[in-house]
Amino acid sequence: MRFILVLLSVLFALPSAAMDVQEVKSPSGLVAWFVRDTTIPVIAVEISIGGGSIADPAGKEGLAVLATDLLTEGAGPYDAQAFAAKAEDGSISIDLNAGSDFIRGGFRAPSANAVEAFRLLGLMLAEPRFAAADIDRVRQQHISGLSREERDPRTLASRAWYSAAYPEHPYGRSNKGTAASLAAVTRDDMVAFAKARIARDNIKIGVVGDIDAATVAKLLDDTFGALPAKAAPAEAKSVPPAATGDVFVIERPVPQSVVLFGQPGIARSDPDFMAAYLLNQILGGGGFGSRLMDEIRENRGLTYGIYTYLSTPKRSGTWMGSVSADNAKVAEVIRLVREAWQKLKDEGVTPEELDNAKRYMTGSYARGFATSRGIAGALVGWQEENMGMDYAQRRNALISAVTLADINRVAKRLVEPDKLMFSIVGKPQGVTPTKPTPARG
Amino acid sequence: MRTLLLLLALAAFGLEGRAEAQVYRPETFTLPNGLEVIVVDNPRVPAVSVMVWYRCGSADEPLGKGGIAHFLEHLMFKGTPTVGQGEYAKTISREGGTQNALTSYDYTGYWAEVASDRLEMILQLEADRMINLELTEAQVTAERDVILEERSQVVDNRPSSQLGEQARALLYQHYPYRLPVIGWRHEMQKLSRQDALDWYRRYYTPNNAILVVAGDVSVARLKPLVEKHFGPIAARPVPERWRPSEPPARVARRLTMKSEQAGTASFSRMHQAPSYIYGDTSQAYALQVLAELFGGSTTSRLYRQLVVDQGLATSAGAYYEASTIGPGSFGFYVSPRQGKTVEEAEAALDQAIEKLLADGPTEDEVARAKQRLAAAAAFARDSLRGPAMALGAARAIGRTIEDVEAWPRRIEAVTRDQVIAAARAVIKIETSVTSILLPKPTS
Repeated sequence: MRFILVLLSVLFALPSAAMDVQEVKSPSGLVAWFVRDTTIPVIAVEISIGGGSIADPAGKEGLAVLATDLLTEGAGPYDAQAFAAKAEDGSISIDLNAGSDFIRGGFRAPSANAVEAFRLLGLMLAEPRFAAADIDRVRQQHISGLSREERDPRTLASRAWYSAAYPEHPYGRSNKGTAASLAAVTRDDMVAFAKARIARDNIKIGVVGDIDAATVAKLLDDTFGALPAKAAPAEAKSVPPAATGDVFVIERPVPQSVVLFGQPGIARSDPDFMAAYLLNQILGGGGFGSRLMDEIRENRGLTYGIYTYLSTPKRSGTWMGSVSADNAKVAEVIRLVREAWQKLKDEGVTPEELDNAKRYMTGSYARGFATSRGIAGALVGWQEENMGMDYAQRRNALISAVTLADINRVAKRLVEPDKLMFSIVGKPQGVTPTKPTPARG
Repeated sequence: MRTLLLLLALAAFGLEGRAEAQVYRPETFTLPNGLEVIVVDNPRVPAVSVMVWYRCGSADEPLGKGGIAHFLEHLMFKGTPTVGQGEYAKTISREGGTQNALTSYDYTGYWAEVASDRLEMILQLEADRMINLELTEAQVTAERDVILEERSQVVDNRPSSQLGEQARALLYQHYPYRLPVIGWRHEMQKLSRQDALDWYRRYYTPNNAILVVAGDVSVARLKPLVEKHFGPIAARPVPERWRPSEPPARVARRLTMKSEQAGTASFSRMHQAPSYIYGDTSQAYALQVLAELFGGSTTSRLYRQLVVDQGLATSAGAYYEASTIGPGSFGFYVSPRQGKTVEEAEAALDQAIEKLLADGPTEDEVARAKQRLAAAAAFARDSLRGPAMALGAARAIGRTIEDVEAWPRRIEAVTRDQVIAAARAVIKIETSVTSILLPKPTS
C-alpha cells in the first residue's frame, strides 16, 4: 500500500437512531419495532407478511405476486384511481410486493400525514377491492411483463439456473408465473390468498420517524387490529440447490453473452454465515477491489462487471455470481471464474484480504441507515431472521470476531468448484453445454 | 461502476425540492484557484457524500473522439505516483466507504461515501487525482476493452437502447446530444492514451470543478481541509464552453425496429424542448407540470385514458428533461396491451394530445400535478447522496444555487395558461421523432 492513511482509527460510529430500537405494544397486543427519529419530519413504515409465492398452488403460479399488486389497486371506499389520489394528496408513497417467502411493503409520508398513511395501509390489507376491471388490467400488465422477460437474456439465464437447481421446489419456478397460470387465477383465489396470509400473527412491523410511541401503539390497532387473528400455514420443505457443475447454453443472437453461475450457499442462521459473507466479499462481493473484478475486469478488460452474492431464502441458500462478456471472450471468463473458485478453496484468503473485508463491512454499515425506509426495512429484516432488537449493536462485533482460521476453514467447507453451475445466454464461442437447458414455469 | 448516465433525469426530479421556501439549504465558498465548494450540513447519519464534478461531458468532445469524456472517467481510477493501480477503490473500501463515477452530456462526476471522520481521506484522494493522474499503455488498453464491454452490455445487447440511440441521432440535427455519451464503437476502439491525457489536461483543473459535500459536515470543519488539499493546485485556463444551436426542425421523423430480443411492442415519441438553459427557458417549469399532469403517474391523464378507461395499453406516460445546457426533450411512451396494435395506441395518444392542446388541462389537474411534484420535494433531506447529486448537476450546467432552492416556489407559481402555452410551443409533430419497437419471431 503506497497511500499513507491520514486517519488510523478503525472505529465506526453508528447512527444513534439505529441503535435505539424499542418495542411498541398496542392495547390489543400487536407489536412493532420502533425507532424515534425527529431529525426530519418524515415517517416510514415497513411490514413483512410471512409466506409469498412459495405457497402458490400448482397451475396458479403467480397468484401471490398478482394478488399483492392488486392490494394497492383500490380498497375500502376507494377505487384504484381514488386510492392513488388519496395517497398523492398526502404525499404518501405506499407499496407492497410479494417475494418467495415474504410479502414486503410499507409507506413513507410526511409525519404530519402519519394517520392518513396508516389508514390507507390498513384499508389495503383489510378491505382490498379486487375489482374485475382492475384484475383484468393488472393481469394484462403482468402478462406483458412476462413477454418481455421471455426475450431478456438475464431472465432467461436466471430461469434456466433456478429450474435446474430446484427441479421439484417452488424456488425453481418464476414467482411471476406464466401467461397460462396467470389466466387461471380467479378473483376468489386472490380473496382467499389475502385472507390466508394477512393476519395479526403473521405481520412483522417496523416504524421509523418523527412520531411518539403512544401514537404508534394506537395506530397499530387502528391499522391492523381488525385483521383475522391467525394466518393459514404456508409451508414448503427446506431444500439445498441441486448445483451439479453443469453448463447450459441458451442460444440467442446477441453480441454479448450473459452468464449466471452459482453453487450451494449457506443458511442465514448458520454459525459460519459471517465468515461466508466475508469470503464472498473478498471473492466478488465488493465491487472494485474484489478478486474477480481485479482479475477479470481491471487486469484483463474482459467484462464491464462481475459480482457474486450469497442468497439466503428462508428454506435454502445459494452462492451466486453474474457476468457478461462478448461472445468471443466468455469462455475465458468462465475459465477464470473456475480458477478463482478453485484457488479460494485450495489457498483460502490472506490476512490482509480478511482485514480489508472486515473493515469495509463494519465501516459501511452505518450508511445503510441513511434513509427512513432503509431503517424501517432493517427493523423488519431483523424480525424475519430472529436477530434480536440489539442486532445493530452486536453485528460489527460478530464480523470482527471472524479469524483467519475460521474463514479458511469455511472456505474449505463451503467452496465447491465442482458444483459451480453456469447458465449462459448468447452465442458463446468455445463453450460446450454439458446438458440440455432445463425448462420450467 | 463508473457508470454511464444515458438519462440525465436522475438529478432533476425526485431529489430536488421541498415544500418550504428552501430545499437543501446549502452553503458555498470558492477557493482563490476557482474551486467552487457546496456544503449541505445534514448530520442525520455520521457519514458524508463527497462529489467532485467537472464541467465537461460528451457534448464537449472533439469530433472523432466520441466517448473520451467517459473513457477518462474510467481511467481516473488507475492511479497517481502515490496511489497505485486499483488502490483508489481499495483504500476507500478499507475505510468502509464506497465510490463510483458518472459521465453525461454536460458533466463528469465522481462520488464517494464514507464515515464523516474519513472525509479528509477522500479530499486528499480527489485532489491528488485532479493533478497527478498517471496512465500506462497497458492500463489504457485493458480499460478500453472494459468500455467496449460496457457498450455491449448497455446498448448493443438491448434493442430498446439501440433504438433510443438512433432516435437521439435524429432528434438533434446539429447539437452534439445526437452522439451517444459512451461513443460509437468504431471511434471508441481508436481512443488512445494521448487522447485521454489531452482531455484530462484540458478540463481537469480546480477552476473547472465543483466540490459538493453533503452529510455530517460543517463549513467550519470542511474549509481548512479543502484549502489544505485543493488550495495548492494552480488554476489553468479552460477552453470556452461553446455549443452550436439547433436549426429549425421541419419534418417529423419515424423509426421502426424489429428485434428478436423485444418481447412486446412499444411506442415512444420525443420532441425537442427548451431546457433550464437553452431556448425559451421560461417554459421549463410549466413543462414539468405538463409532463406530470399528462403522464407522470397512474392518476395522470394518459394512464387513466389509455390504460384504465380504454384498456389499450399496459403502460403510458410522459416525461420532460430540463437539466441540460443544450435543448431538452419532452416525450411520450405507450406499451400496447396484448391484442392491441401500436397503431391503435398511437391514435389514442394523438387524440389525447390533440384534446390537451385544444382545451388545455383543467385547473384541478394543474393543482394536483403541482402537489405531486412538491411531494418529491418533501423528502429532499431523507437521503445522503441525493442533495450532492442534485446540487452538483445543477451547478455543472450553469444553474445557480438560488435556482435549485427556488424550485418549489417556481413550480407553485406555474399557471394553467403557462402550461397551455408551453404545450402548444413544444408539442408539434414536425419537431418529433417517433420510435416503434416490434418483436420479431425468434429464429
